[in-house]
Amino acid sequence: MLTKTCDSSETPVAPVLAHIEQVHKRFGKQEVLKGIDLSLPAGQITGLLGPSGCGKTTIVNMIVGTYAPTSGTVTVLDERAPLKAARVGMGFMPQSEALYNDLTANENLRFFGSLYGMSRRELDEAIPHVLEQVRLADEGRKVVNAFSGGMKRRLSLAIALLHSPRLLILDEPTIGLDPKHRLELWKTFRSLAENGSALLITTHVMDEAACCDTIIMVQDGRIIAQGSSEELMAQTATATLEDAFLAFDKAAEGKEAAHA
Amino acid sequence: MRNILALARRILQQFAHDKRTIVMFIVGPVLILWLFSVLLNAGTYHPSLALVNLPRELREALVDEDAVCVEYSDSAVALELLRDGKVDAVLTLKNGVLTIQVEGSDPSKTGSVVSTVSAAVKAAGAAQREQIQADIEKKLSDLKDKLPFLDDIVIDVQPLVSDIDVTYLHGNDNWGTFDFFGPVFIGIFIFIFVFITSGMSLVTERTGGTMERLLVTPIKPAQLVSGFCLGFGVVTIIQATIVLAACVFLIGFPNEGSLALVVLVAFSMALVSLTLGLVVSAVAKTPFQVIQFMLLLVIPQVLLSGIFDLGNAPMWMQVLSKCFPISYGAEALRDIMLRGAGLAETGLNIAVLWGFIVVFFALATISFHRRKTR
Repeated sequence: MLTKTCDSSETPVAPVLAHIEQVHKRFGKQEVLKGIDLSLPAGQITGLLGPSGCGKTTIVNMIVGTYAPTSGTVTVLDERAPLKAARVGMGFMPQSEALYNDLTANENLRFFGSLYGMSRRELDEAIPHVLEQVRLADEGRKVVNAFSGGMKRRLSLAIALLHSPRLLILDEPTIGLDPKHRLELWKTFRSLAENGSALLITTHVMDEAACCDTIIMVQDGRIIAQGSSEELMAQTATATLEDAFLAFDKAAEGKEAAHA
Repeated sequence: MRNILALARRILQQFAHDKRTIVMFIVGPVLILWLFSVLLNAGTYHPSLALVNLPRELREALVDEDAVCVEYSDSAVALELLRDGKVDAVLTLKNGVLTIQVEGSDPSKTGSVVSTVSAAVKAAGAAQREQIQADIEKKLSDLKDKLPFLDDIVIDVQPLVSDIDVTYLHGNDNWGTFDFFGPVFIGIFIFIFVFITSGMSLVTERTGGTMERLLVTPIKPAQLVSGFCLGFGVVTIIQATIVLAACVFLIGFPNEGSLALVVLVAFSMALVSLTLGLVVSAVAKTPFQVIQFMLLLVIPQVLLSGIFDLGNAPMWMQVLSKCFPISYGAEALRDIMLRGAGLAETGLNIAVLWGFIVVFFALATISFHRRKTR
């Protein structure tokens, strides 16, 4: 499994840290995911791009293990779902704030760090480092209630990074951030990838998706296209990712209509 | 174990940051229990009576029983007062039959009127009997002076019961209504306060989004429930100790038994409430639903816990009360605080409480496990 290559043959051989195959998810009568295949190779940022309601967050929940697939397999860090040991090696930043507002930033970090099995010494070392990483170095003692929206997002990311996971799943990490902080976060993401982590980032912002190594376009529970932003634009002969997305969407609709 | 401790520690930190909740947790139950004690110990009610041409002896006896009396010669005027709510009853005596006309809408006032009047009638009757006895003896001694052969005759009129004397196996005649209900109320209020807190706990995790993050960590459902129990358990035992100490030493609750045993029972009840709250919290989606669950799960328990005597209630209701944990806690608290029972006598009730704790703990873990992966 570790030697499995990425879909496109041009990409260099890298270990795959998460892999999902033919995953379907049904909630009652509604089929939210209609056969998803994707791999997250180490050292790469994979972007999950699509309009809200397309199934991005469901895919994320599938990988982090809060949803069980109706059919298909999910493998994370060599463990097949339902996940146990693999949870320790995974960092997750949910779309909502997901912080204890009545605690300080340090207390939030300490709590989640302990749940990932970090010792007091490890926490003492890791917390200042991770706060520095998200530009909150002097805010550790402040109660989260006093934080701005942007600061909360960054603290949320810090919690995901704290236990140095090899696999990072970030659900809309830059939502509500100003351009300066957004840029800084993308630098952080890039350096994490360069250090060998695999990142999955969902977004509906097109120019942000352009920063990813691989973009997976999702529409209506299906993957409609996959590749680097250059490849995707070249395939559709378009100048922007947005136009490329619309072209793929139209093509997918055409296919569906032909099937019907 | 580390996960459990981390979670408990976080809960205590949250409490430490939330001064208002700490104050409410202690002051709330103490204040409410104090209000109840004042209310129920307010003393007996003295009825106000309109008397229509009653003999002097009966009138004086009624005044001796602390009834507020007004005299009327016309019963129509007296009835008018009754209609206006100025008096609680109108008394008329005709051919040896005492008629008590009561207003009747408030059973406790009616009861107070009837018991006051019967006590007065009894006292007047006793006085009359003594008078008759004295009269007979006077007449007999007059006769004996004139007819010496009657010397051996003694006449003594004795009623079946001449007086009532109450002695107490537990307590004394100073114990008011509240002393009987007090121990039950302590249990009930701790139960309700803890239920709300723990019932909200998982719901706020869910609405705040932190549940999503928790579920992704390696923590197991049983560890999560244990952590909540440990964290809230520490808070609860502090709360129970302070509230009980305030009740016994400041408010003046009776306590014939050991305070430590009372704390143990209160703590056990709190843990039952805590684990039940966690079950509800795992099922409820919003804080509003938690309140609805409380009305459904806690209020019936409170009603059947021993505030009302269930001796005359239908069988199914008596059985139902035996299915509720509060009933066992309330009984144990009464046994200890009113009857000075020890661990040997209350052990069974405490064991039943711990049975409930184990069941609710398991239910909370299961319902949480089912939520974990959908």
